[in-house]
Amino acid sequence: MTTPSTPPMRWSGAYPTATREGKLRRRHAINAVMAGLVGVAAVLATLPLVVVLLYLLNRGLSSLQWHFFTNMPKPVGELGGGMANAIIGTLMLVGVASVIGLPVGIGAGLYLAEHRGSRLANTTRFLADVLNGLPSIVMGIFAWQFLVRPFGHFSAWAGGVALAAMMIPQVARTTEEIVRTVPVSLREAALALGYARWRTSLTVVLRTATAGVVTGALVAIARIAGETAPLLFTAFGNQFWSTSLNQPIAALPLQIYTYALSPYDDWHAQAWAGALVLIALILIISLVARVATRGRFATAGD
Amino acid sequence: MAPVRSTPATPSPAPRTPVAAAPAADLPVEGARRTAPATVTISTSAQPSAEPTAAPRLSVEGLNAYFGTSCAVRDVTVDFPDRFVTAIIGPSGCGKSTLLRCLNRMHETLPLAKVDGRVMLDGQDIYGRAVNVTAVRQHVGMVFQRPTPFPTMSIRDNVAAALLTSTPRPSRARTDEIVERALRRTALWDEVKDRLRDSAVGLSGGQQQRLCIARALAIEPEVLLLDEPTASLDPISTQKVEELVYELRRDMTVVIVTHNMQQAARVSDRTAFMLAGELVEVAPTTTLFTTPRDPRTEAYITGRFG
Repeated sequence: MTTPSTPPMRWSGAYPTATREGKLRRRHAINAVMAGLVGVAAVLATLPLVVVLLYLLNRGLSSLQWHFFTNMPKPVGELGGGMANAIIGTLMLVGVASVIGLPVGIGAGLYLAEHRGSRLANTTRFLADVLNGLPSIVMGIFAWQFLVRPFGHFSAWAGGVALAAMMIPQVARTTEEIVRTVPVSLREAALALGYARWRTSLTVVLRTATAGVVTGALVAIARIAGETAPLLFTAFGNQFWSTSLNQPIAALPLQIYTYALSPYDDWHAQAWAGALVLIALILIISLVARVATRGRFATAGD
Repeated sequence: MAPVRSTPATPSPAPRTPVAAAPAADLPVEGARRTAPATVTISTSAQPSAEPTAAPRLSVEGLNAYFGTSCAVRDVTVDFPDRFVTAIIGPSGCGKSTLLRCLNRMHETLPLAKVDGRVMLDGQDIYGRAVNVTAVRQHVGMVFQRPTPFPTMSIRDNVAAALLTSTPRPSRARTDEIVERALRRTALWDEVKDRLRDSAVGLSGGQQQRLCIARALAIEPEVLLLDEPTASLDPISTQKVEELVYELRRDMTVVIVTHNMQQAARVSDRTAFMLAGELVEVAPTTTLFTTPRDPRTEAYITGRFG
């Protein structure tokens, strides 16, 4: 702190000491105000999440008993209903979407990064950005047109593919950004060992970028796990137990949607519980993958 | 003291008597020459070792290298004799690194880069039609200015990474053997043998650079290219790398690009001086530094420019 006894600094410059002190005090004040504002913004940014979580816990926790995870939905008025089918359904849909979407998305991202200047890369990058902004309901309608109508029935496949189509552009773009941070020198070192380009990409470049790519994939998974619109005309939802990919399948967001729209109080309570489970599921997926990729070595872009 | 490596008689290499005309004549360990791998397109026709005038391992004929339309290397013709260390010196931007990168076809990995001319490795043009680029790079290893250990791999795996391309893939035990030998050759074994499974990024800069050299050596290249290998190292590490280069000449052809004329004088048998993309002069190192033929060489080595 500035003690008054401290002599003015050697280079005391153009101002008399009193003016300098005044200016200094003013700058300190401005600094404090700005730091405070930024801090408030940071708190505001996380506030919605905190509020949502607290509110969900408050409303959903009471109906979240063991049977919620093991039982099937029951008719109105009957106690002890659950969402076992919707939980399994969501896991399966996310699984199908990931199996299709992650390899394609990561592969496309790798291509975009490694052939950044080519015409195909530039076109793909532009289209991926457009696709990223495509409303999810539109994706749902397209999936219905191409994967439901030709087969004559709703199916988990159609839902999974619709979700995968939403994942791909996002995964591709995040993968590209991360892979670009891998230093060129590493790429050259691998090429100089006689590695072919594909081997360089896979064993050195992609491996160095693993942590970032996984994080990007998780963000994409978390996003599609909560998607409702693309599933409305594809997976459709199912009040019964079904794990067949060829049948309509239940999903948490759909079940929440249905229950929340209903006029029944106990279904409302179930919807809250379902929302809580959905969020918990996303959280668990993130945590598990985080721990799994926390390998022995730091892998972030060097 | 590492059991396998035999240290040089003098610990700090000094410029030796120039060996000008008859390259392979008086080199120490002719018998220790390894047999050339038989598999690849560029294979040596393993000539008997005691030839008085061995053909140059690597020879460059009329080489031009471009970035887009600008010419970085102009009509260079030079021989790199077998088991000699050749240094390439010259001011920044004179094309010495580019010339080096043409010798294992790394130049063409850069955007807009183009090469014409011939680079003969054991009599075969590495820019020939049927030549497999990856095979060329396995025979002509390269180490860069900044150490480039693979950050996701352990120390052992970094060295073993070089073997990934060899067919058949060596067994685990064999790989361990090769890794140990490569690390011993670079005098790194004693420093890292207890932490082979640790990340290579934890090593010091000098150790990382020697690790990179070990990695390049693991596949037994015939030629080793060093692109300012000590530019980012401290003096002690630099000395270790220089000692290593001194040792390597017994087994392979070495080409080293350096900014540092003292270094060129210390480690090389022959020195090439480049200026503005052209090769001005190439001569036995002592000759070049004592009685240069070209006035431009003299101006450079006496510090009048560059």
